Amino acid sequence: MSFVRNYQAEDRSLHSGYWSTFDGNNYGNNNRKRSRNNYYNRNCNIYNDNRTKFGDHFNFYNADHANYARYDAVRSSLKRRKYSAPVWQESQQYYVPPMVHDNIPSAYNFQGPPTRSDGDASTSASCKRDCSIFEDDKPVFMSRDEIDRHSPSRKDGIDVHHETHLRYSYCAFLQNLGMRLELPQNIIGTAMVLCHRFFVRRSHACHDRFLIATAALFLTAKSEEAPRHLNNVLRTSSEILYKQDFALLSYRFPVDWFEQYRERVLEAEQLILTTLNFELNVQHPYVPLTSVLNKLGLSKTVLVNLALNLVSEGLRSSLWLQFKPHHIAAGAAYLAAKFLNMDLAAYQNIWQEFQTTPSILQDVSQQLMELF
Amino acid sequence: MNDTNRWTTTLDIWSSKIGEGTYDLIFLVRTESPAVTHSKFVGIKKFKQSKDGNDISPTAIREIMLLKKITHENVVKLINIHINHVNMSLYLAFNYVEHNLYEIIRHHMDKLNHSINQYTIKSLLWQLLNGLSYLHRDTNMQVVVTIWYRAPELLLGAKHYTSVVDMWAVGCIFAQFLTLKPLFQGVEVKATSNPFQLDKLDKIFKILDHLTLEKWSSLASLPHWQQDVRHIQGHK
Repeated sequence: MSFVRNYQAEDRSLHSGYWSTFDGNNYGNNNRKRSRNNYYNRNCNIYNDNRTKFGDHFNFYNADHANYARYDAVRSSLKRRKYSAPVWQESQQYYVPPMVHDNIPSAYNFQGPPTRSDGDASTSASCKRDCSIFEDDKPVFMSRDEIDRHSPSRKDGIDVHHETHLRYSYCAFLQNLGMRLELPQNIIGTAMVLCHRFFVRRSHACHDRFLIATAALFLTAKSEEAPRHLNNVLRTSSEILYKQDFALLSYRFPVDWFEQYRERVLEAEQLILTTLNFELNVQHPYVPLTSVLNKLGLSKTVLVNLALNLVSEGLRSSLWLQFKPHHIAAGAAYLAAKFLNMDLAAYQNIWQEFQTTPSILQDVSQQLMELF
Repeated sequence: MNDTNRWTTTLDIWSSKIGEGTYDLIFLVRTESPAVTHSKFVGIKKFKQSKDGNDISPTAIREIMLLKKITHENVVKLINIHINHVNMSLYLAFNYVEHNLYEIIRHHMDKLNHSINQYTIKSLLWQLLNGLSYLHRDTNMQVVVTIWYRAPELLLGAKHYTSVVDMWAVGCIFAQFLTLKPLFQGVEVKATSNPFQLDKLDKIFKILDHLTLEKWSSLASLPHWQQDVRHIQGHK
């Protein structure tokens, strides 16, 4: 451990990385055995207690992490903190401080609210409110206004603009992780949609989005019959989050950091399943898009490629929570045609083929435009 | 979910194990739940731990995804799902169905010592086909079956197959209703993940004659036909 100690003392910038899934309190204990169950009974406001407890050891900084978040205005009380000096407990174990990522309390020790099946009195008010109006079994389509106004993150002070960027950040992370794990695009897309569904039911303030995203991709790969070994998923995600080779990470963290990360991801997998009530089926617009354009003799055209790209871009929006796949397909085709100065109205019954209306077309294409 | 909490704690105190599969254990549990429509009993399937560790197995996830889609009178109804967060166990609760086809056949063979009434066969077969038709149409799903009911293309290592493999299985079950014995009761080889089941194929050939490329042109593309054609033809 002395090597780690010296390494940390010499390089203060080491902690600009992100590891929000550690529970600092675990490292001071000799007894490392932790009941998995306590994850479901933690309080997302513990962040505030720890900030007070360890406040002396932090200073403020505003670095960007891994290009996964890009936004400006932050409330000063939620600024990211950087660890300024090593803290040593009596056990001489190195303590990894709580990190606040991207200016919101990211629940570094993954303090999720209880699942619907395991209510607990100790849960904070904000996390108790998490599931508010989204308790249905099946993913119900919502209006954009409903998503924006009723998101549980709103009650924790995260505004629409901020949440949009949080959404972009975990989608960028998922795209990177999925490609490095050589997963097909539809699986990566499904994982993104599952994360969107999760965060209309749970607050960003209580859940580390990168942990949820990692678990969602691991889960989706299994559900789509392309499973990836958990250890590979964990290694790759930690390399992406730290922009560092996995072999070097063991020098930065306590001996059992990987095992703890593994447990957190498995707990997150269960939380996703219970939060979404095991609704893992996601339909994508790719099939209706290609089949309708095929029917109209527009296959193998620039229009198809552009529309497909627009659909892929659209994954980072909340469109999948608002519209059926054929509606998104129609909006993408409409917008692609606009870009290419094509008049799709010349193709008879095209919008009937997509089973859509002018207002839906307008809405979908408008939201796709906003992504650029 | 509270009901399931009660069921899962009951499993250790009062329940009877009524079956065991490759991936799961089935328990019979008494319940007062209003969710259970036909019976005071619930069948609870407890999934065995995944080999890789504590994550939920892909088999369990796939099954849940399909069962959540299914609502049909001839397909058993999933009424609840529960994860025990302490030991990571997954439980599925189903409406309890008292009998399965195997029990009905055994009952006629051992107790009654005569064949099943033709009207009963007609009814059972209709229910089976009705359920299968729904699964094929609405879930685009093939039902993977035990070796006695496995179609030749599966035995010959086909990776891509259609719902016709289920129709082969229905034919085998129909024959078993009539004779009370499996039609093609081969000895299963369990050496590797997808071993060549020569004995099973031989049973089929004895009744339906040997396969040839003239009869079935796509035979040539099947892995075990390419590798084991000599063994197959040597059994003529």
